[in-house]
Amino acid sequence: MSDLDDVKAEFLKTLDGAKAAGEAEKLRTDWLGRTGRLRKLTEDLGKLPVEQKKLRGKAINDLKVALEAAIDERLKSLSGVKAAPVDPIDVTIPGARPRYGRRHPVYATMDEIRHIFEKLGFEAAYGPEIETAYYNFEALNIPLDHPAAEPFDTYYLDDPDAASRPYRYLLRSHTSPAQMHVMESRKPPIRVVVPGKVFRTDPADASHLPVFHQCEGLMVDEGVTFADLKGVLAIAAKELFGAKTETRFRPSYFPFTEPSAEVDVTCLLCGGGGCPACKGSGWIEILGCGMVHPRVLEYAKIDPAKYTGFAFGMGVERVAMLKLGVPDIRHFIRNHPLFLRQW
Amino acid sequence: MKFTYDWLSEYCRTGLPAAEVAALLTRAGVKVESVEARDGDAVIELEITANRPDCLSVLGVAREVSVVTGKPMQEPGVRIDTTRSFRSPDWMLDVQAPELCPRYVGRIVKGLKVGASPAVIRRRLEAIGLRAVNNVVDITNYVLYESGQPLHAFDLNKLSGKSILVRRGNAGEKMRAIDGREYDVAGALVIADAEKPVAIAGVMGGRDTEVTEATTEILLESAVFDPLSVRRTSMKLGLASDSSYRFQRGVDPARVDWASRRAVAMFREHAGARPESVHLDTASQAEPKRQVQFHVASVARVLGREVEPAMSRKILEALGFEIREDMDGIWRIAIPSWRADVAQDVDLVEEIARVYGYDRIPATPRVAVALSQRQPWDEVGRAVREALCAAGHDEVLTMSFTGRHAAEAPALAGEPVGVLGKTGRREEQMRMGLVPSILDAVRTHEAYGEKGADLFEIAKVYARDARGFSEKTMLAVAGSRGFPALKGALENAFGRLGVLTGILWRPAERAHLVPGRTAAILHQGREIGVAGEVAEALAVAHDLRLRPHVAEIDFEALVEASRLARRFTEFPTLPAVRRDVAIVLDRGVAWRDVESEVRAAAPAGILESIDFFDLYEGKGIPAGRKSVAFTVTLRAPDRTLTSVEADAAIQGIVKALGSKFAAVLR
Repeated sequence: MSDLDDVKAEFLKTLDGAKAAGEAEKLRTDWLGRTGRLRKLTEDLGKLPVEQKKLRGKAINDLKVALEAAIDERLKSLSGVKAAPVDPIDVTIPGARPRYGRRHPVYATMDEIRHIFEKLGFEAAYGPEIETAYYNFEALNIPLDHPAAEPFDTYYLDDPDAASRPYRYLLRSHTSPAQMHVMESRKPPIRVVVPGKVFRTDPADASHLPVFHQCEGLMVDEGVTFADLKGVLAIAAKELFGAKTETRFRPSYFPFTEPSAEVDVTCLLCGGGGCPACKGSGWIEILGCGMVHPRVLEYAKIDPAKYTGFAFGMGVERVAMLKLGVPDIRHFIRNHPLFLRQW
Repeated sequence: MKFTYDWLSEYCRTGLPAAEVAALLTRAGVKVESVEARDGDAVIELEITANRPDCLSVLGVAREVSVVTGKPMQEPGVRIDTTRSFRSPDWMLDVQAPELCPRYVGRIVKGLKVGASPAVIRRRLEAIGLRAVNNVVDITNYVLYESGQPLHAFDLNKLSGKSILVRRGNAGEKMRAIDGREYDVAGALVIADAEKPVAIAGVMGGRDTEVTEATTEILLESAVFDPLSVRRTSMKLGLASDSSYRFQRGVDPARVDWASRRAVAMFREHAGARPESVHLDTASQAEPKRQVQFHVASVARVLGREVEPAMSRKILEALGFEIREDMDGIWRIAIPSWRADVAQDVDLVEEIARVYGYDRIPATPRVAVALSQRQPWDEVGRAVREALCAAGHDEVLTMSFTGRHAAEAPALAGEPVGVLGKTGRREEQMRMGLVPSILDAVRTHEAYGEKGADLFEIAKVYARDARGFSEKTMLAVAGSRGFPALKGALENAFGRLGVLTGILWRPAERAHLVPGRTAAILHQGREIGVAGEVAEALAVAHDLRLRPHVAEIDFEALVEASRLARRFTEFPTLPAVRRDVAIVLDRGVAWRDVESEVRAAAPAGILESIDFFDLYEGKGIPAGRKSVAFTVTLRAPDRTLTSVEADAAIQGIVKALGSKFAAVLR
């Protein structure tokens, strides 16, 4: 079949001489077209015996495929020569970042806590920030004019009509009054989480602000126990601070719960081994809780013989400080641009 | 409450290190704040909650230690027996306000030799931060801390008329107290001699009758005063003491005479004293113990864990409760005199639980699944925050108090709400609008070198009017990038809430915003907010160099208006034709009117949208005129529009604008 090799050699030589795409395309017509060189070769096939005809036919077809490929290759290289040189970019130049705003860490943490309890079936509820002493104290079994009310250093409102009112107006010193509103307005089963602003006459220092936030929770139903409270808060603590977080319940006192507890979580910094942040104890106090006091249920006209409940409350700023490592609570209200943009 | 470990060990010897006892106390709810080594001993500080005044004494804490360690408790023996009477041989006791002083014990002690206290007493008092004075004063302090019962020693020879009166202070009566200050005691419960008040009952003794180096005879007071009366007097006078602290929380009535005898025994031992054989006392007979019914089943009902009744019994008895009767799981329990806080079933459950150990109660959350309640309030808050963050606004947190700016740029009608501080004086004012708050945050940004700030917050504002107090949640936004940028950010938020089509921006005037650069924001005709450039005066008041734009919107109205649910809308698939149009027309023509005219002029059914993209005034445009450019998008639902159709539509629009506004193509 050397004649076909010769044809191929001749073609390639001619193709090599093509210096423009048009010339290469012309070769396609001249060689492979209806009147081209290869067509002529096939005209002779009819004269050959059947066996040879088969072989010769295949060889011519292979040649045709090869020539087509050579033309394509040539066209590709010719067009490559023509492309304009690419101007390289400096990929190390910083990206053009679209400006976006950040959530405030306290509000974001409050949302996070709410979400955790929503996942556990609690429903968000809100209440007024301006409250009466009835809801802030009495209905929660906190005796007014008693040392038990002292931790709730409360701002009373300047009220010209105070004398004509059964209870004085104040800025709520905890979110628990909202629980009372919830219990008054619906029947068990009740499962709510109450995020919100609270006020205390504490002068601002590294760990206190007169205006801060709490997230409170309440569950009331038949058969709710302290074991349920422990279980729910153990899960919530893991959700909030990480799956390795352990909880510890210590007996404590709140007038509106009995039994009452303070809850510690394993120190976020040392994981429980003891470090300066947890004063070497390995534990950090994070919230207060307990079983709703029967008298509080009675105030809400819920039968304490039938229903039990638990309640808990935590300081949002404190959680945010622990989680984010913010050393001074006052950062949260200064609104320094470099603080806000860290989150 | 502070004490030394060796002092505690005198009443309950545990053989354990202080830190271990501290951990056991904390576990049982008597919270140890700190344990500090001192001179080979340890100083323990407790944080005692208001319900446990019994632990405001070393003996009370020792009782808890005995319960949690199982080690026995030893009380100091007191062997002073004197006869009780309203009169001693020549002294008279007259309690004129028995409701405020249910018990008064006075012992007369003679032959005292005032001097230094024994070293152990001095050491223990100094370790807890008290100053050792002399044996008489130190012993009264020592017994106060030991028993929780406040005592006071009067110099007998400085009392006149040989009588002790417990009465209310008369109008105009004053007394100089041991602290050297003079107090107006009118109306307050006082201890008086025949002539004058000599002590503010339960709070502090008088200087004129206090024990001095020269004292040889005293009247030792041990009494119970009404907690509320002591509290009110203490707060009114701004005077607090270890005594008033304990009286406010309630003392153990059974310790009153014990503490008196204990102190007298110590005076005898350490100050050479001789007690009189008769002492003054108002008590008739010992109060019977209160009794509470306790359902054993309550333990499991409240805790979610059974505690063996035998274990419950052991715990309660160790704490001093007496189980007087057991009827089918209902116990009749006598409450010890020092546990006024225990009043019902659950209180006893807590006692059992705290000693048994909260750690032994399992954590088993049996929380049923429940239908989650979508709260539009939170959904709207999230959508608004996301839209504003996406537009480059940082969320801030500002104080609800705003002394100086309270009534500035108010969002509510009425007066600012004044807030009383600890002293009862008006200390703070609540903000009536969120704009001043957010401008303070802008100011902070400027102060730290920022060229303006893009910020927002959702928070409450407050007001008072004739009907009372009110509060409202507002959204405030501050922007540094001009009115259109602020408006666009808000429009994105409105779009997220599904209310954008109902929103109208109308020129408006507000005192705190620049006239002509202010808009009221209306939703379906109702005003829900205002936006504009901050007026000079407000900017100056906030010390701002730049003039930010601000908006304040009624968040509650947004929640109400929001339509968060989405449904699929069929969208066109045939190609649209877009034509940019630039016209020149009078400055005073509002875009909204141009837009309406374009809508009216376009052939029916093919106008898809009109999108403003440029406003130009200045070179090349006659004075008083402006160039407005916009894109008209045309699309037919059933066919591909030809350019001939589109051109005809645009010509019609331009013609209509020409006749309506004398607008010409630029």
